[in-house]
Amino acid sequence: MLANALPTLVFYLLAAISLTLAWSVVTGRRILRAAVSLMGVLAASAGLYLLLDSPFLAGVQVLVYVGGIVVLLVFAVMLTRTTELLEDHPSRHRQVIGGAVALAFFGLSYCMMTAPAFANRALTALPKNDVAAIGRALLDTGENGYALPFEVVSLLLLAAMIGGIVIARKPAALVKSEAHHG
Amino acid sequence: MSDESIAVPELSPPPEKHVGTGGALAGPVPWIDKSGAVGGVFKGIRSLFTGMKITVGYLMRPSTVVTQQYPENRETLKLPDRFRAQLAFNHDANGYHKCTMCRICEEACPNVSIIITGREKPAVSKKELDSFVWRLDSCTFCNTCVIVCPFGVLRFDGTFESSVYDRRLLAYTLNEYAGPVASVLEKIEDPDARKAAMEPRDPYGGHAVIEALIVKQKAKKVAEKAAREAARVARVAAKLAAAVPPPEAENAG
Amino acid sequence: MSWQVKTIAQRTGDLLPGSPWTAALYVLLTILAVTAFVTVAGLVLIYAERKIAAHFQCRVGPMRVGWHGVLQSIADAIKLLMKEDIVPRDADALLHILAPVLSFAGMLLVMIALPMSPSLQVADMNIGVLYVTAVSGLGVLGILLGGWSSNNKWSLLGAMRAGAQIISYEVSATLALLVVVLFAGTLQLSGIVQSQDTGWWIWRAHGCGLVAFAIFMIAGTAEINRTPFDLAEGESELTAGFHTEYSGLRFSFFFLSEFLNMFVLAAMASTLFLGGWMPLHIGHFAALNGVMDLLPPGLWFALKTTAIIFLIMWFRWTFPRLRVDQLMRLEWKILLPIGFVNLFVSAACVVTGFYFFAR
Repeated sequence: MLANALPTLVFYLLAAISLTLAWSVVTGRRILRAAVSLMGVLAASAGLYLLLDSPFLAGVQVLVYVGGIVVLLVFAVMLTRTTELLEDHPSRHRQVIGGAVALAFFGLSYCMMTAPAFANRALTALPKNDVAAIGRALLDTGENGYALPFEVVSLLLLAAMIGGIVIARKPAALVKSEAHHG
Repeated sequence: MSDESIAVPELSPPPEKHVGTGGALAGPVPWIDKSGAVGGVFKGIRSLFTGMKITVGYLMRPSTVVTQQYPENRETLKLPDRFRAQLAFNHDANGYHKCTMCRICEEACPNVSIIITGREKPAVSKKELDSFVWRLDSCTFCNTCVIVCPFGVLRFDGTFESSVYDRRLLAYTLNEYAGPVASVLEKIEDPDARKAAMEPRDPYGGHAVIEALIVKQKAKKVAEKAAREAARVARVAAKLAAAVPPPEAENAG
Repeated sequence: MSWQVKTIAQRTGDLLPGSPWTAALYVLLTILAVTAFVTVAGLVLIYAERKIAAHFQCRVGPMRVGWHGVLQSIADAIKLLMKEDIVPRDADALLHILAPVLSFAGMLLVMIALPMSPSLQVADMNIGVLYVTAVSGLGVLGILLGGWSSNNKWSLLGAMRAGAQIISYEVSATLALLVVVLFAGTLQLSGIVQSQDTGWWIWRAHGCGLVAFAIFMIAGTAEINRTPFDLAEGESELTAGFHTEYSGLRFSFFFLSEFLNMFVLAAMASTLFLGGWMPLHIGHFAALNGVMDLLPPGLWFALKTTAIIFLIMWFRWTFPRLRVDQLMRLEWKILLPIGFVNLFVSAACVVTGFYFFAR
């Protein structure tokens, strides 16, 4: 009985942590504390993945989100903001738009979850707990393969990378003038 | 170890623009590495190994250790020759010094750590040293006094245990006697006359000299102040005299 | 010879159905043991660092506390515990307290995945290498937050440097890790160790392993912020970098995790490239392998890790610190291209089975 109750207990614990921290991300006044709370939320979802017997996904979640995204976020905050963010009263305009987006997202999620076609597919598509199988599925061009999405994502990342380089490089005129003036 | 062997691997030659100083740097610039990108990397890697060989050499040979375990090895302590702990006078075998009181060291000292006083009544020659006071508490051990001394009177030696409980004891009198220089003393045949010309000095008597100097300076300052005050009074009086015409003149007008 | 790998987590799992309280006690004991190991290893590493550094520089190091100063670390630890724990007035107190904990947690979480011997490993995850890379990222966050929350220019600058440096070098380190993962065909750390049954990856892969090892050591040294990559705390420029404002216990958390990260790096390098606890085996030469098996696997691990720790210390006390631009150039223009080419070549080797003693 204990063995069955434990995962449920852990799930509710993680869910509570997730929700509390998510709330503090949205309402927090200090942006860096919000970032740390966000890290907590992401780590808690990694825990949820672990609970679902997908350690690989949990590892990737921690690697990409906690180790990558949050660190970059903190880095960006440190580079840009010198004081804490104080935005107690967003404008009416923003309130309306924000509310609308949240409502629309909620509606979309609700429709997706209640749609019958969505409910069953994911359970058998991927073998659990086997990195090699995940790798094969990612490069499989067959019926259940993920080669196309994988390539599309690669293309997206490549485009993002090129975009980053284009933004970061100096304008041609500047390079020319620097070379000229020596 | 040659200069090339300490190059950092990713330090490729600086861009041309930095060298553009006209004809001043004509010809090959010695520090520009000409080995190219790939060659530079290998050169750099080799230099890293050179450095590692040197440090591990120190690690492997305990004889290279220079640390002294001081209070334990007080008897066998070995100090480097150029260690500067205390300024000292070079006295010869007879105990005579060569200080002519030329005061070059006093002038050269950057923070007035040397105070030289002459004898009020020289016994033999025109000028005779009374006390050569060196203040350890303000000395920076820059060695300038030793360098400038034309007679080689001064030296820095390694007696470094100079801590005392009273800072007045940090003003040392370096000369062992007040009196003329060695060359003058050696001309005196009679040993008793020599002795009479020399007056022993206590190493810790330096502070008395400094205090005397301070008293003297204070007196000088008081005198100067009084003189300034008198001059001011005189000036004011003169001004008043100029502003108010003498009554006789008015009567005459 | 086959090795029976049994981790502490597995043993606890075996105990769980029969006697849950014994299992709980087991977990408690493991936590205590890991904590004790971390503390003792930290003290030993600090003492070793000071002694070795001293002899590299013609000095003798600590000599007063105990025989040749062996108790110096303990004395320092007691001093640190006694010290006042200061939070700067205008600091973000919560983050200031959280930062060293994050840093320490990152190190501790990696520690439980290290295979020290077939029977001495807390948890042997299927995604071992991925887990180690992921969890060690927490350390960066600790450094960044510590630097930010101190409300001090030096701390902030140090944290920014550390952040940029660690994010950059993580790429190269991961590329080097991937080479071994390719050859071993598994992410599991004990699996990687066992894949080196016929020889270590550093020499079995026709140079690919050696290049990957070199890249991993350079990038790893940069990730743990040690000289020649100690820009994050370059004491001549930034006082102490991100931990300038830390004192007492929290400073010791940062300090300890820094030193233990060195141990983690050395243990990972020895596990991936030098066979971890696997004795020196060459192919199927039973005579040599039998002689090598006389030493217990735990000792092999300790010896290899110690050798790499010594290597890292040797780096630190020999090389001068890099400039920021040199640091970035080394990573993005030298290590990264070499790493990619190396990964490509090793992939080709794996596909064609062109390496020593391929199965």
